[in-house]
Amino acid sequence: MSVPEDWARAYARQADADFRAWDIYQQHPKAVSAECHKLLFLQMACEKLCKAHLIRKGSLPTSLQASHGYIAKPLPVIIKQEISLRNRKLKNAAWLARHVAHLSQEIELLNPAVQRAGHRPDNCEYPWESADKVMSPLDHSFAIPRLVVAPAGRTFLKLVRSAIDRNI
Amino acid sequence: MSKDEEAIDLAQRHYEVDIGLTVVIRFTNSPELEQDATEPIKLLEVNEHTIESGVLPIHFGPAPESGIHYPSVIVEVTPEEFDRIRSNELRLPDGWRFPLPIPKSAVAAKP
Repeated sequence: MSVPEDWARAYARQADADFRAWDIYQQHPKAVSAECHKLLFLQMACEKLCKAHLIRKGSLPTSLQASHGYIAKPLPVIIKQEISLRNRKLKNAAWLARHVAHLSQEIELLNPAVQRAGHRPDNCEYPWESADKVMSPLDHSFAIPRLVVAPAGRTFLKLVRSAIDRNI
Repeated sequence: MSKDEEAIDLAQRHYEVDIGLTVVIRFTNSPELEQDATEPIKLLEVNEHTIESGVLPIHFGPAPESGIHYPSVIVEVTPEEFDRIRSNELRLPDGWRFPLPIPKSAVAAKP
């Protein structure tokens, strides 16, 4: 009989694999055909990390598996805990926490199922319509690549990496 | 540190990290259950900068290398959701029985 801990660790391992794929593509941009594919791995890694933390407290894996929109709320809390566990070594923690909230919302929006009531149909998987034109993720200029190369973004990625490691 | 002291320490660390945090309330279960090392530290955190999503308990394992020897569960809510919890419109998880507010300490309030 499986227990929540088994499911949580399995989700964390998937998050680890997804994050490694993102990281490899970061290091070798030409290995991936488009930016949106790379972002897909980051979005999936963050979503599975968040679900691992939710499953440990009793959320049903079956109900979470096909559901989306589980990044913008839990990820800042997960990162806050990660900073807290090392805050005596991390400068500007409060400034970082503000950026994390914004990054988390943008990462959640990469999922096509999350559209903020139709206001943000842009996503990294499927084409969408905007101002009577069909837009493709292949041509879209996403905010995330710019945000993660800023100092707060680089620290955010390290903290996501560290939070995944803590769950495996 | 005792479990009570670690709960206060964890809350203070969160206050230091997140300037949107206005209230932290620790909830305990029965004294007998709280003796169990696997019973988590339970913190309700009211954050001006978070988004509404109801009561979403997020579980963390112990981190002894960082001085936290107990698991913890964080429920973060907006001030409006906090009002709905107080008026029993929103329910906290089972076992969140006895509230104890943890104010921001003078040390944590420093810039």
